Amino acid sequence: MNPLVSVSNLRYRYEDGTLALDGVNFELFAGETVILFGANGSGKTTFVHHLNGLFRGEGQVSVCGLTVERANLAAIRTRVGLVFQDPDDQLFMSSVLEDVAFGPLNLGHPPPHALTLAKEALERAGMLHALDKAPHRLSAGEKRRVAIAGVLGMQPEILVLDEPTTFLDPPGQHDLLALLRRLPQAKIIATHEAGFARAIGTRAVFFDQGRIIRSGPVEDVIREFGWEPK
Amino acid sequence: MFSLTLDDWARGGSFLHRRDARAKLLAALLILVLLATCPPRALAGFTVLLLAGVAAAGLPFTGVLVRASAVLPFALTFTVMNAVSGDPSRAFAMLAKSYLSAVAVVTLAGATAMPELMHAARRLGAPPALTAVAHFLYRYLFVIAEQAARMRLAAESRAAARRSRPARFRAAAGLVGVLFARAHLRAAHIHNAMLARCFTGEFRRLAQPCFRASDAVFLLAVAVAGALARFAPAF
Repeated sequence: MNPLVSVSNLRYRYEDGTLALDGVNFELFAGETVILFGANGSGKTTFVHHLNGLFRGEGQVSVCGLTVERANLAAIRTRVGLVFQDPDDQLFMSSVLEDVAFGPLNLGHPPPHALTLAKEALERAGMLHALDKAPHRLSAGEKRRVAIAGVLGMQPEILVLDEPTTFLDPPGQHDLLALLRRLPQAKIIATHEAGFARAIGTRAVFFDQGRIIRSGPVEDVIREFGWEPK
Repeated sequence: MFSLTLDDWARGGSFLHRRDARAKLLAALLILVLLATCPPRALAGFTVLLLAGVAAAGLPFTGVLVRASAVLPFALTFTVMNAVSGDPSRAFAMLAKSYLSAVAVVTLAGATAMPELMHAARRLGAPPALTAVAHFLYRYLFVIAEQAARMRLAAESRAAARRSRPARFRAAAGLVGVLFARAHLRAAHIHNAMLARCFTGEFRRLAQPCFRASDAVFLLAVAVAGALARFAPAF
């Protein structure tokens, strides 16, 4: 089976000279939910930004058989739905509906079809009731759901979520978990929450100083690195 | 919060709310120009016209008048300068015109959702960069205000209030600096989020508003009423 995401020897250095990724190798297969563990600054966010072509480092990154390069960016961004850590960064339109339709409209869907896609995505995320609301009127959990709907509207094959439990209380985390379980896409989730990871992950990798130093079952990785509140 | 109130008002369904945003924007611009160039004796006519506008929008008179008074501290500076230089009638006219202009703007903002207003400006030929900046300013005003409030609370919790005035000023300056740095960082994140959803530089919309005959009649009516208020006192 061909991997949906294949990353080979990826290196990335920020402009200030910080080496954020130092030879990362990674694969994601259909049906998997891979958890990215690691301390703050270990390279998780930098890594996920490569999957959508937002950052481009040395090495090879391919998504659904397409190499991440300028010519393929639009095709890749329709396949990889990236949900950012802070939903306020992602909900930049003035209403929930306009925001969720932003992606489909940019993909060139005619407005009536974009509207259908947006409403379907909102329904899947359980936020159809809020389509007229302004993003600043939503709770943290609602914002997160709308942010997910925003990428679902683009019908991606892969979902990448960066710290999705940030700002969420336990009931909010529980709702998010239920939503993510219902979504059939392969997922990559960067998180610090061991319980959340256990509940949804099929595999985990551990980042340290820009490298993946361990890959295996979620429980094993959590135990090996003591990645659980004491 | 000021902008949240306007946000609530803009969700109304009055006659004025239902007009196309372009018609309302053009009408407001016309009123502002006529008001700015009118003689003091025409001010009563504009007052009546603007209050009729507030009524047509179904907005609370007190709320609009109080919010429009936000312009007074700025206008008062020039009013005082004019009054001191020996021209009290001009000073009064300046103050009244400033206040009435603010009433017009608050009425427009209270009867039109801000995104519609931005889109109308864009469709009327405003530079896309300008409307995009205004769009983001509106969207993130709430986020930045919340951030500022949290930072102020954090500063106060560390006894900033008990410090001397210069120390507090330095703390406030630092707070503004941090806020700018965070806003800059957020701008980079937002740009990434837009690129991730295939943004190509143009905001596309689900529905294009249409300019109906009733909007044209409304605009014409405002133009006639404005012209009467401006020129009738001369005859």
